Amino acid sequence: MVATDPIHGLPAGQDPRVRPTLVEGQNNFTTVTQMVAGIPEQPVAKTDKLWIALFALSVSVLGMLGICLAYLIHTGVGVWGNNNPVFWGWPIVNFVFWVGIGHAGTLISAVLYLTRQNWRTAVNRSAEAMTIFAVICAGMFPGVHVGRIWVAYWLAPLPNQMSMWPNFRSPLLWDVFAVSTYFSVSLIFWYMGMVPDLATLRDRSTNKWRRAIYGAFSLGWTGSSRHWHVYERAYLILASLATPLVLSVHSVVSFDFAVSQVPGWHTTVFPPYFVAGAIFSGFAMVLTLMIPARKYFNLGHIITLTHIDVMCRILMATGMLVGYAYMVEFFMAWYGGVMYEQFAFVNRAFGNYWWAYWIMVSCNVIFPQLFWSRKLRRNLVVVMLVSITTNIGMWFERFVIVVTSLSRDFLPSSWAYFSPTWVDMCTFIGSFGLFLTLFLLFIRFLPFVAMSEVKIVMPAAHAGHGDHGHSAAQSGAHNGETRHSTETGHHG
Amino acid sequence: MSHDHDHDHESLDEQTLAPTLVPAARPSVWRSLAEFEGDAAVAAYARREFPTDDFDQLEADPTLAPDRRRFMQLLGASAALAGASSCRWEREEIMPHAVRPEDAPPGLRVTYSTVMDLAGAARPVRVECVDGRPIKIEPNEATGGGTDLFSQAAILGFYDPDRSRNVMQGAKSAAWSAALDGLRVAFAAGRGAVLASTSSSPTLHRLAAAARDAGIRWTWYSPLDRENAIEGARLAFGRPARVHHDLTKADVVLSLDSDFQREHPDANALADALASRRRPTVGSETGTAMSRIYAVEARFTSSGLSSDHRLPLRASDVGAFLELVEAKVAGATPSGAAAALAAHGKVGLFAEALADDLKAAGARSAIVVGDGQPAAVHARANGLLARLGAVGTTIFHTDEPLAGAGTKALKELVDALNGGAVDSLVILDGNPVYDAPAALGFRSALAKAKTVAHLSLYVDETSSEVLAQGGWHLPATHWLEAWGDARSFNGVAHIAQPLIAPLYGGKSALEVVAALLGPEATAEALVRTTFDALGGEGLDVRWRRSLHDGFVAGSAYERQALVAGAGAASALPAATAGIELNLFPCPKVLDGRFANNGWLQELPDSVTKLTWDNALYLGVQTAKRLAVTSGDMVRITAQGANLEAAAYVMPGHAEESASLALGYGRTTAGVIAGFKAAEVKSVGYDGYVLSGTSGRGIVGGVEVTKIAGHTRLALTQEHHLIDDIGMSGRAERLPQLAREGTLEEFQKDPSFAQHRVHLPPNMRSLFDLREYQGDHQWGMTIDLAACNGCNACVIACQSENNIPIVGKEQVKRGREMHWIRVDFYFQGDANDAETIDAVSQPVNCLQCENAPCEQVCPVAATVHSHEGLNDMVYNRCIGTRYCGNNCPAKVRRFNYFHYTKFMDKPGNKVLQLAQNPNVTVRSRGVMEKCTYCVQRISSARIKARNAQRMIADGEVVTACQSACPPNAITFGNILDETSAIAKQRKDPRAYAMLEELNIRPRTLYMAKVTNLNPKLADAMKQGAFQAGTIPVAHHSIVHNGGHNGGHAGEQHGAAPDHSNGGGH
Repeated sequence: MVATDPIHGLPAGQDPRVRPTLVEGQNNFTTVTQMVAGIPEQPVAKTDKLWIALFALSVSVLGMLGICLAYLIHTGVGVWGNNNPVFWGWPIVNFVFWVGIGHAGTLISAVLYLTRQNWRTAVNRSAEAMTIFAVICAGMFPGVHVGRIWVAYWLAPLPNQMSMWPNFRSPLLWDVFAVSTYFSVSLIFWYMGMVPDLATLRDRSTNKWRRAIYGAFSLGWTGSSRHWHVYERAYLILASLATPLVLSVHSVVSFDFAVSQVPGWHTTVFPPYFVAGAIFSGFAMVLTLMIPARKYFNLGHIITLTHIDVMCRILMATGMLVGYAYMVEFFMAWYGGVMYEQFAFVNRAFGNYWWAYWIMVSCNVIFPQLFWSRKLRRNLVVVMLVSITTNIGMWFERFVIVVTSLSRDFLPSSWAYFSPTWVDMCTFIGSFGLFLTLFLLFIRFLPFVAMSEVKIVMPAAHAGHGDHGHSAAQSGAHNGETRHSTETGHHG
Repeated sequence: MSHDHDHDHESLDEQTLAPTLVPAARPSVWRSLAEFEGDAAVAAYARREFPTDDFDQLEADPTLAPDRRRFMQLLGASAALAGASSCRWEREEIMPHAVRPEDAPPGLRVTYSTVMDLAGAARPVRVECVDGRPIKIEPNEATGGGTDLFSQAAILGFYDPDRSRNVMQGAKSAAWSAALDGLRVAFAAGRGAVLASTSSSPTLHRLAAAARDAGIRWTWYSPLDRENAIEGARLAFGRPARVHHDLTKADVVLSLDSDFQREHPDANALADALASRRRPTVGSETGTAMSRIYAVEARFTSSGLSSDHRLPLRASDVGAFLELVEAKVAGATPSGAAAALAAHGKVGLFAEALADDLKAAGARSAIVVGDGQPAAVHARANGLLARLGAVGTTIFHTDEPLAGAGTKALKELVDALNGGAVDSLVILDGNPVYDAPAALGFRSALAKAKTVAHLSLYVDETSSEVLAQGGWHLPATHWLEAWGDARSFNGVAHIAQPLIAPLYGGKSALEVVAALLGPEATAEALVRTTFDALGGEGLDVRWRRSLHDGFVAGSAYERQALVAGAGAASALPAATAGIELNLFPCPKVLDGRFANNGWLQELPDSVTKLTWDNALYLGVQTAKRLAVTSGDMVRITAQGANLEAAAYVMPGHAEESASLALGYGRTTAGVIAGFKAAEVKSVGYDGYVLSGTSGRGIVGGVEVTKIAGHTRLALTQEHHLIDDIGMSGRAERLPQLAREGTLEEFQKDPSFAQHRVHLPPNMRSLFDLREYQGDHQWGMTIDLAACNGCNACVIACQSENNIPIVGKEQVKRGREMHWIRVDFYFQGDANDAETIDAVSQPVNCLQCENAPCEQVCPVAATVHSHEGLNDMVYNRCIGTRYCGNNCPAKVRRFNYFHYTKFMDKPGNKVLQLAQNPNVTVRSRGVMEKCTYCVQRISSARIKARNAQRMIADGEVVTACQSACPPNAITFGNILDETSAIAKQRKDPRAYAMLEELNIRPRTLYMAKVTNLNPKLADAMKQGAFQAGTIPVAHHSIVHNGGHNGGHAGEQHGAAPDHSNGGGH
């Protein structure tokens, strides 16, 4: 199963000379297409019961979100637990949480693409989708958390009767730009990458409506060399555009905190620390979603244990980065000699919210250490548990940053304890409803795995070239050949 | 003319008396079948011009019909009176303008002097009216600065939608005339009595005398009556007398179980006088004029806060303590209880040091005794003061006009009622069913009277009891809508003039009593009659002058030279065993009369920061012994009664002692304080239940037991959720926030406060700093040495700036809206009450020049004005709340809900009238905060621009500043070198809180200086002056000398050079 280095006997992926097997089993282009395209092609009437059950659940939870938001908008922000020192509570925690999750998609799609990590092809599509949906969830929170939702558009630099620009000094405004840019680039990237696959679905569809809809969205793709050429160029450009965004979005999100002067927020380590945390949480969420989906859709040959292994390693690495950041914060607070900063960190670990801090440390720093063991990296139950605790831990990280810092800042007279309301909780749970609804629709009606890209990394795409590491992107001619095969695949 | 009428009459007669029509023929046109048939009655009816007119009724019954002569008489009289309709006589009319006079533009503020009478002491004020409605209470500077929070809160009380609107008898509403006629008849039958809430009104006293002459029994009663003080003076001097203090002359002040800066009828003046000696100045005798204050008290009060040395002591031991001090002053050996007490803790030490100080100060010493202390303690204090020679210097005496008012008088009335000696009773204001001492049985005695009436602002506990008996409820006028008068503690008379017509057609006590005694008279006429009795020249001019100035010149009481007799050594009541209970009037709602005022209910208590509740205060060790923590429910058993209440563990409270504020647990008050009939829960716990027959004061032999249940108190400062880390963090930073030093320290280095924090060198900002440009740059200073935490600023700000109340649940969530708050911190070892001291620090928006809030607002809703204000633009705010997070002083407030929406309800619309039209009423979802009363700055600017001049110093007075009795707040133009604020900023005590954040606050604080007695400084360390609590600045950080925007540097010449920063 695992390609082994003939000389050293190292596992695949650790010897750069060896191209690892990325698609396992007796698969060829045809079987890949059938495996992936078969899911959306299933007639609606024959939709799987489990999917329907999950979808019904998600939509119900989404409905709960709708009720919470309607109640919120009708009544006021006071339905949440926010109070006077803790002006930002769960909504901003959730915002940062979801934005963080939205990081893996672009990272896998763009950064791994540029660094020629071919293993990404199995997971990039769903990771990108996850990004889009996570950013939708994220964007919702700052949108509804403002006091006067009906004028939230004043955040945008639109010409208005007040002849006023927004305040360009405010990190919140930077946030608006950062998140909206990230969302639009991610959306285009995701959609563009899907065009060849949509064309495949169009070509395979036997139903008039499917043909029309997939046809409209596949933008007249024919798979010609010229199309492939333009497509690859555009993909490269978008990947290059998206890569700095991976760093910028969460850096800018961290500015919301770092630029302020609240003890516990006001630290220069935040941008890299937030980016590491975002990748950490993003990978955890990809794993959390991928493992059941892989099992359910029987995609074990495309999303292999090797993929999961690699992602676990990244998870552990970023987890340690985050852990390092936690330590550095303490060091800086001590070294800075500012009484308020020192207090903020001691209070974080041992004050009223000690439990939140230690949940965070356990989930983010201690549990991922299990992945030093190759055996555990390949134990799906362990991986699933660790990815879930990572998600929990990363939510608590944002909670610790936002709430503990605010609850005790400079003047002790204004200290207060924050406790959430049922609306806080239901809104947060409801955001999962939104996320899962979108995600379930995606896996049901769109190609869950990037068929065309998977085929590129299959040995058949490199027939006659041996395993000497040509990347598909470098070789237009081969690409053409590959795509041609893709196109012919379904005729056979 | 008369002929015509005559003729008409005849013709009418002719018609009606004519025989019924004979149906000669069937009509061809007809209106009804009956007419067609020719029914005679119908025909007659049809012929009448006014078929339903009374006149016709008369005709139907000829016996009622006037004869011709009578008819002519009426006719003639009508004609004569028709001509008289153009005649007028002067009438009192108070009404809003239907047509606006030419010189009264909309929004013009007109200020009138008037007075609030509060349980026998006047609170002279000026009231700002806009378009004929009172908007804001301001102090009457002519009679002394500052106002208390009760007068400030009167605006809300006046527009309270819960006020009663109708005369009621039993369950039915009735007319005033019926009520007054009924009462007159009842009183004419004899055995009438009046129970009046204690008042200083000369007119009411005049009417009371007239009533007594007419055989009516008259009783004065209010739970706030100072019976013990009056009785104490009687014991000492042989006759009732009033003791006055001049604390400006006192070098040593001893407060014995007295919260005199809040509860005393002359609290404002006392607070001001006390503070005048607490601001050390720099000069040849740096700081020597500072007084030294000792407080001996059970619960922590404003006296403890202001004091230099505080001794926590059970209130029932205060007498023995005084005996001990007396003995030490006299050089005698204490005996009995005093000797026993001296051996207790540091009491002996404290008394020794105090006695030495009193002896040294001699005539320049003052003792203020709490009204809850027994008469003998008052008597002894009077005696000691006389021996020290203080009479004539810090103490003087006058006659006591309120002698005889109080519980004793009420008891006599109850006895009379029970004995059947009273048939008719009129209760004027007050709420005795609720607030009479519980064991007096006033409620049951009330039923013995045949006719009872209660004049009151609300249908309260007394009114509903009276109505249940079929008696009368009479709606009273509020003092803002009625003529009246009142005398200050020192006797100066003030005239109350109405600012608006009575909202609900009420009558004042004056009018009701006048109506009982004889012909009805307007309150204005009654007050004027009293005034005219002064006699002398130019009464009219003097009347108008008095109305304008707000006081009657030359009306102060005459001082009496009284000699203390043997009674001054009256035997003290024995100290009580077990836990003692102190029942004291709440500093917010007093005896409960202000309980339905939302501003006062939501006001955080000065010490406990408790809102919307009272609680049983317990000492820390006592609470530990009882296994009680704050919020735990306890059962209090005293004088045969039980009360279940929440406990609050108060640091610094004397052990084996408990305190409970009166004025809570109202059951028929209104939607704020509790209303059983409408299922509105009572706020707090009714302490009167435990009051026995004596009312306020000390109750001995009390049992406190913990019971099941815990309630979360609505505290605005969460003292009790503080863990060890929080405690240490607070201890570490407090000396840098609210800075304190000893007088010794001040004398060594007057700018000591500026060295509590050393700034990093070269603080720079990412953004250009604003320059002090233009004519005006506003600034404020708050003097911690003067602040006694009285909260008047909080209510004044609430009234001025339309700040909503949010309710108990929202306060628990930490969403109170006050723009200025008074932070209060205990210092010392909580487990040892003798080490406890405290500091209070009012905090409003510091108006940072380099404001963190402005940088982070994405929509530029908070921006800097060219005059240095940190402006808040509500219209622009979308409510991201980022500014609130980034505000280091946490003074920004967010409208989490539409807190003002309830005013849109039809029944509550009257509250809209209380809003200041110059300040936006905020909607939901926007931030708000202190604006330095920018609307007042704008008004002054408009005036100044029209006159083409600068705004003068003192022309803009912020609401908090004007309300502050001890003048702790100074505001003005810092560019004007001669202004008060510029001078304050140069004072070496001035420091900028959190200036190390480079926020450059415009509001500076003036450090508190404590004048320690060297004998106690080390032997009984308290608060901030315990070892190690004053921090030593970091040696590694270089002192930049650039505090307070560079101004303070000038003062550094007098101080040692701190450029190396090593000495601190």
